[in-house]
Amino acid sequence: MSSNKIVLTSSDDESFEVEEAVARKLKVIAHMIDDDCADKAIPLENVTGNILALVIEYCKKHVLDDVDDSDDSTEATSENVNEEAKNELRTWDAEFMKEFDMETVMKLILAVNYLNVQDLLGLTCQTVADHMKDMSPEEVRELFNIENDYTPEEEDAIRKENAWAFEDLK
Amino acid sequence: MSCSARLKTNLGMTSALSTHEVLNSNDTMCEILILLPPETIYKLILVSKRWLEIIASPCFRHTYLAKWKPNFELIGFFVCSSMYLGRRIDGTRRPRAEPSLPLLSTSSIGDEIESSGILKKLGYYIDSADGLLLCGRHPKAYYLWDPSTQKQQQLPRPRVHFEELCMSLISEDSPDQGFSYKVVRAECVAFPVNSTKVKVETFSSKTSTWSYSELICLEPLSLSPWTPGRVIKGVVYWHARGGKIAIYDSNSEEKRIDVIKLPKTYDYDEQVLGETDDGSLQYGWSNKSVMEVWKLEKVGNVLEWNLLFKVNFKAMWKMNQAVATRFSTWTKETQLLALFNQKSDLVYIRCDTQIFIYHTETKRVEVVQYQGRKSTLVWDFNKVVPYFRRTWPCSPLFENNAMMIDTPQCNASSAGSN
Repeated sequence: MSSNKIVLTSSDDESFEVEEAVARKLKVIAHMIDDDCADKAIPLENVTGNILALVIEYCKKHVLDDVDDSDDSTEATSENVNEEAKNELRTWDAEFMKEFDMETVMKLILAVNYLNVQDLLGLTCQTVADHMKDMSPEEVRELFNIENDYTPEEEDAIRKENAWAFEDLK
Repeated sequence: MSCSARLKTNLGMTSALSTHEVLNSNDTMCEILILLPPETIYKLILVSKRWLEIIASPCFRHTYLAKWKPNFELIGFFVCSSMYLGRRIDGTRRPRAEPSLPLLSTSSIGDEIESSGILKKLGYYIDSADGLLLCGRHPKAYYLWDPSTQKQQQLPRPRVHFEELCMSLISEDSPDQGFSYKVVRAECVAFPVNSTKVKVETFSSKTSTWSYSELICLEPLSLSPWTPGRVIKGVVYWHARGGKIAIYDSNSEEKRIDVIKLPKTYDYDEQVLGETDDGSLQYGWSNKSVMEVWKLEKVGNVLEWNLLFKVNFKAMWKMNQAVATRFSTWTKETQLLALFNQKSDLVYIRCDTQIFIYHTETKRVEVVQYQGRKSTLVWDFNKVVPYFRRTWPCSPLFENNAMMIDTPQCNASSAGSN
């Protein structure tokens, strides 16, 4: 069963042949496999080839973590090895995310939200959050190109009503 | 972080379509916002109306607070005149000049509350929870007052008469129904000595009715009347006679009340209850020379007290010479006043009419400025309790139509719910 191959096709018609175990990291695909709907190439309308390639790269790297409880076949490894492997993965994640500009991160978020890859969703959202941390509202607007739709009066009202939020913590 | 420079420089060069798609989806917006720390998230309500709507929504609040600690603001200190509260037959009457509900304000909201005159209409202080205030005159009139809406509500008359009682306010917050509350009143009887039953009447804002029940204790129990209790996640802690704490889980179907002995108790000491940052009960006491703060922890299936810290007042003032000299604390008695909300590294102490914050880590003492110093408050006969408000961004723009923009259906997976 583990040697089974699944074919995924991106919105721009790029095809990817992946191990079933890797494809199962995409929860959407896992459900299709369980429902026996994965014998043909699976078209993914919302994801382009370059983004899908990244998602697959991540899933290949993470294929061994959180193995389903049902078929926990990995042999007992010592705690130390486990810890080391986790650290290595964490470093890999950081390096992986470093490659991308904000637009790509956002594309990844949309893709994994749709494909339901929870840990990559967490990782990509954390990247955006880390970037926004310590930013002022003006900087966030600039970063995402958001229009300020408050009138000066409205902004004053909100500042006044939530004055505590703008006092720096003592 | 290391990649920030690149993220910024590249942004202008690519089309921002995906960015907008992510920000327009409540799902993904919530996934990102939930990861931001409180210092950042609250300020971001100024980004745009949409951001304010999402952050202010009860659903997001609930998910966020399951992951991050809530933020509290000290409004001031209430003086509880329990002397008058119960109107005991032999009790003293309140002199007209003395306000029934004195607030020593430490904030601008506190000043506004004080000057609005509302405090004259509410009777005496009983309890507060997340800013919601429970006041009244036993045994008939109880009021709830909400500082965020400035609205008061009178509870229906309780159906059962208790001569002496303990009362607590429980606030609840659910993602779909928003805030609700319960008021619990429990009878305190000194006789018969061996009673293992406690009569309780509970008002629920969901049903708007009082309901009566009897709690069973495994050992004889007598609650101490008119003492301030403490509520942590629906579990009520009251002082009981004989240096004990009674524990009643108001969420449980089981009508049970448990008792645990306090680690130390001397009748004339100052005793206060509070909540630690991880939701355990903390208990503090002080006498003339020292204060101690203890935490009630569950070890296995057994509750036990662990000492968090002990402070010798003399040594403390020695560490804080300047403050001590300025307020001439050397000649006056220092005592523990109150514990912080969901914090154990800070406590309020008092010396004469001066209130201070003591930082356990730095061992520093800091003065708390408050209004109302001139009042005729007799400190030694009154319990003084801090009044905190739980803060969460609110939107003054959409008051009449709170959810003009679609309500975020955030089911951010990263946060566990309780």
